[in-house]
Amino acid sequence: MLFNSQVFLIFFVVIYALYLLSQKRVKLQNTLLLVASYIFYGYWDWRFLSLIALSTFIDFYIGKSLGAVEGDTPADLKRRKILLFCSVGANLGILGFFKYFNFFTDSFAEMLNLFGLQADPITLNIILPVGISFYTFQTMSYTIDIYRNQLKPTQSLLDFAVFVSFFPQLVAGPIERAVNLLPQVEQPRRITMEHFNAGLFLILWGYFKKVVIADNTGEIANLIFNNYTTYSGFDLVIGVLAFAIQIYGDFSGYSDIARGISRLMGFELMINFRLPYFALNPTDFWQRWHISLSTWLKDYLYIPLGGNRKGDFATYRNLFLTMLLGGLWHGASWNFVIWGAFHGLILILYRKFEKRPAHADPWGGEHSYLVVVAKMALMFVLTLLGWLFFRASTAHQIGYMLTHISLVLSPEGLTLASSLLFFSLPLLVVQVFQYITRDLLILPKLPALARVPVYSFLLIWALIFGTTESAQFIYFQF
Amino acid sequence: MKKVNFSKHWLEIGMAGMGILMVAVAVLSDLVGAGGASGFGFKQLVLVIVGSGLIVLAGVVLKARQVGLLPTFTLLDEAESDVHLADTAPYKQLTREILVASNVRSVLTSVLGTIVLVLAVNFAAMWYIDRYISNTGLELVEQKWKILQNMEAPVDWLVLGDSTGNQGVVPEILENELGGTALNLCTIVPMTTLDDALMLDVYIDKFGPPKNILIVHSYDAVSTEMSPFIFARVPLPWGVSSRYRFSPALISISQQIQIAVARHFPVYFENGTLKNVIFDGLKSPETLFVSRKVNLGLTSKGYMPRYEPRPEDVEDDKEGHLEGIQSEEFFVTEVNIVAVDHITALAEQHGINVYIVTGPLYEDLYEDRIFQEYFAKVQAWWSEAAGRSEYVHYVTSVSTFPSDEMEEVDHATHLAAEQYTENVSSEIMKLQRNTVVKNVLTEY
Repeated sequence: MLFNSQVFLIFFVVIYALYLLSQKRVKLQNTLLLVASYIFYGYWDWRFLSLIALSTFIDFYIGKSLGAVEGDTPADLKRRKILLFCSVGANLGILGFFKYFNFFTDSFAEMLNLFGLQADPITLNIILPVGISFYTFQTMSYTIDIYRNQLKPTQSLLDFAVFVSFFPQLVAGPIERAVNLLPQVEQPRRITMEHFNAGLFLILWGYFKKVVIADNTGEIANLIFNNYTTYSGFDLVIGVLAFAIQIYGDFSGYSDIARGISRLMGFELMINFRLPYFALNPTDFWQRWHISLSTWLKDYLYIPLGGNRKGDFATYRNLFLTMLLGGLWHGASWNFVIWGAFHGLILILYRKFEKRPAHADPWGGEHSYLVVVAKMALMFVLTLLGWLFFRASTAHQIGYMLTHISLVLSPEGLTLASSLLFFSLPLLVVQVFQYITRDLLILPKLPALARVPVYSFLLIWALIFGTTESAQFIYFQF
Repeated sequence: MKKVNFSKHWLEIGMAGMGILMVAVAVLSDLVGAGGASGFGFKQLVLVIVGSGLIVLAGVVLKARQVGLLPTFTLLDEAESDVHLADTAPYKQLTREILVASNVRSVLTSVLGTIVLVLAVNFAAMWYIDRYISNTGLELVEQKWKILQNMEAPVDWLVLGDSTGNQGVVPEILENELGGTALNLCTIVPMTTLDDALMLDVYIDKFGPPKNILIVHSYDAVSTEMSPFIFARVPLPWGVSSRYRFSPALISISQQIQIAVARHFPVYFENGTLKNVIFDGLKSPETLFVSRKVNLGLTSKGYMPRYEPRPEDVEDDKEGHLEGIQSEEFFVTEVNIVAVDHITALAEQHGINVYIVTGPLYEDLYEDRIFQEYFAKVQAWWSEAAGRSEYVHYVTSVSTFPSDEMEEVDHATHLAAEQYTENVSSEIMKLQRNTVVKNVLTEY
């Protein structure tokens, strides 16, 4: 069930009405949310429900068992470790099988073929369950946090099941932490006017980013990427730019809709995007792009590997491995791995050569605005290069596009560039405004005489330029 | 309730007021004769149901508030409201979300103000499209229906169907060959046979049943779905199925709602047109208020002559059609099944002679083996449908033409249309003779 579909609209209106009517009864509301979430997820394919239910049961009971082991004896520590490994193993096993089985067997067979050994890979007809990468990471974070004594396990299977399957963020994030979302599930929700107002804006803005910006720039990107050999020069840059805007509009649009819907129900989901294309360096970029994933990887992979505590070499190794696996998380394909490796590499290079420490205030007092803008531009170009690896379907395509880029724009390229500018201009204007005011919710703060025309413009543009429910969100494939 | 607190009960008062207004409009519109030919129509019924519903809802909300069941939106506590809630960010340049103090009034201002402004733009778009924009297909639908509605006398031959008939059947030739008067009301394929059924019903309402109907359709017409967006151009009022004597199931309630919305919400349903207007306007602002209305060139008898053959397009079109045929098995959409059933039932009920023919075809397409296999199934379906009534006849022979007499594989130029009409007339005369002989034999 896509957010931008009539079915979802009817579904949400009904669920929301029932949700409001049961406002003072948490258990009833949570039961409603669970049923709604399973209907939402089952609408994709009812077979997926068994998997999410299995993941829920495994981590709930492991979490309870972990919480029951309170002692510090070696036996207790060993038992806790075993329980943790069971949880991580089960989750990664499910994820690995459904997402990566064919990828690894195919890649292994190709590697053997390179050495002249003929191998027929065992390829299974495995359907990739929607959102599996998101909810397995979410449930893993629950058991890991309990293991680290950062969280007490919940005693309610109902509450935990709602945490795992909460429909607004189930299929494409944000990847929520139990410490943030679980207490909200367990406690009565208050729907304040502030959150309601912000929620409505986020839904509108999210839809606009998805159906106007992402879907229309996606057509430009697809045209150029799918026929790349017929383009050259700056036309290819237009294609990459279009994809950069498409993936941002698509993913951040979905996140905004998810967060907006959650806000209407009194839930606060974490912010997933903070104007990533305004980043000054790779560290800054990963503080702004898919924040729920980057913080997950930092807390559960990078830091356990040692983080930056064991010298430069270990730091670079940990950074690289984390980004490599982060790339692999996106999909079972080598271009995602290359993309992850690329980001790992630039993280390392910046850490080594940038004078200011990456975590310090990127603006500071001594940099001129010109230098800051130059840094922003450089980081944006590097990001575009990464997106080329991400989107390209073959190594030949990457090679062709990299070697045929120039500043020459063809007449068709000019038309496509105009189209790209037309669709991305509203996004640029709003985001500059948000950046300058340092407030993602600056538009709801406008006086009514300005706010109403802006909202109307977004809605009218969505009605005129929005595509119908045919265009799925890109991140669903992860 | 002893006392109405306008500030506290604004929602209930608003709902009740809106409901009363709707019911009043429904009753008043019927009193002044706006209910239409059959009196209190679908529109009025909807208004009464929705209006009454709102009044009842107002009462329910009032009672729920009294007994404490109404969900409430609580504002932040006073102590917190001075503080702008801001999420924490690792460093100050990271853009944050800072909530703004809001109340019901500000939210309603945003929501209702946006809706009002969007509706205003929508009506401006309606005005603009009506005045400046023309789409040949949609214009054709509207003009043919206006011809039907403005008819002052019955005709002997009512020609219905799609664009193959629109530019394929010359009414004057039909009149010369078969006698009597003829009128071509063919429209376009996305209108489906539902358009034929509706036109027939409107005609019967005006003049009683016609003597003869000629239905001309492209070979693939029965596999088409009805387009609510195009159907919105039919200048009939809401609740059209409740007004005429055909089965209400001919157009489902959801389809009628889609048609009504399509008619009044061009910002969404004619977004393709508006997109072009915006892009063209950006390129050449001076053309924004230049009328792009087209003259269809319809004759007084509804025929649309075309004189320029397009042999290259015909050849390309043929390839496209063959690809389409190969990609999908023959099927008939529900709307066509129901509409043809209805036409057959009317023919049986009133003794209307109905002749169904395939429109003119490009000869190379017709002779293609793949097409022949597909077309055999089309013919089988039509034959079976026609067999349900002795008054309905399906003409199995097909008139084909070379590409230099066609615009597309199934759209003839005037030269081919003349020949086609003569061929169809000849087939009809054969069928008429066979029917007479059969009747004579039956009598004896």
